[in-house]
Amino acid sequence: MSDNDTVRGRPDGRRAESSVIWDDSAAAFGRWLSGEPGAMDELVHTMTPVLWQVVRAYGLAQDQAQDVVQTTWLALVQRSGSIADPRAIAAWLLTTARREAWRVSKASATSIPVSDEVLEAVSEDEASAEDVALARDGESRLWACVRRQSERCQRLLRIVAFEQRPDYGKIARDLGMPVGSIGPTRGRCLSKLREALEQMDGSR
Amino acid sequence: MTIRSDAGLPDEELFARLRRMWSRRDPIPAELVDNVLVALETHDLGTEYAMLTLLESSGAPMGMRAISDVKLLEFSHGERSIMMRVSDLGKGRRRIDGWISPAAPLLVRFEQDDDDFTTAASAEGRFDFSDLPAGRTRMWVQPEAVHSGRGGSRRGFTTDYFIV
Repeated sequence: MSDNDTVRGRPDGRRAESSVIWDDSAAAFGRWLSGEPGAMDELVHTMTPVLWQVVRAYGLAQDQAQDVVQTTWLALVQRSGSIADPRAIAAWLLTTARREAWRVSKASATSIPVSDEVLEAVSEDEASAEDVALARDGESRLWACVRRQSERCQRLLRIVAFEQRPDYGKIARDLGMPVGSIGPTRGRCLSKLREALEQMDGSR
Repeated sequence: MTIRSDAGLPDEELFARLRRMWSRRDPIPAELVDNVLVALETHDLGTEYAMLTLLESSGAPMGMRAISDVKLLEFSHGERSIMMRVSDLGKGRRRIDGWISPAAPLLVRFEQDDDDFTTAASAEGRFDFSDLPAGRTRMWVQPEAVHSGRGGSRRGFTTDYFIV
């Protein structure tokens, strides 16, 4: 096991992380619109990792997820003139990526297993022996606890974590949940995660 | 209860840890950013791609049995429609005959997971891929002169992924 999870939290530096991403994206896109070609590279570097995480939350395989991310960027350059609010470019990209991910996951629902190596649905019994052994410090403990959550909670937490201002209505539809239920569900998923973390603390 | 519990973190810090965790557990593939940049560079920015809708898909699923399986697919967007006949050649190979209507000599590209295949439709709008691998495919239909310069109103078509 080479899991070197000794990274300690740096809460102060992390707190504003996602709004930095949004601001950088808006600035880069603005410069691209005003004719600075290199600004698109910056935007791609800033947003592609975020798009990747959100798309993967839908359970797409690696190659499908890569396609969805590429399609999202092509959609941007094809429709750049019709983006109403360039300052909300991150939201536009995330929405486009989620829609495409949703469509692809629906289209391949019968042939592609929902889970992959990351979102693998592991039953609790199966998970606990391995995961408790792994759960020595920070990230491994968190990972073990996340894996015990329902697949739906795992997805929701992942999407919400990476989107600064999630569109709950659309996410609800994409996850097959009633509109208006996301806020409370997010709360429940977080509570369950916290419970799992507490339990793990208790069993140490 | 222990003191250094993640359980007690404020939401935002817990989400920050989740972000860091997923970024490390399921990192973005090393080549993805470059692939995106290349795709953007080589893409013809003067062409808009309208999404063709799959209207009809008929015939038995491929690969289940004998040699004579034929599947028909029809896509359309506005007045443009594209019909395709997918024939099973066996051993995971397919033949595609297509008709573009209204007829036009357009380039047709089939994008698959491992490869791309391009052919030109005839003046009558017919195109043909005589031997393709089976699998997930996405069709791009481009104006023929797509490689040269910019031109405001050119229009191409694309589809969702479908299985041949």
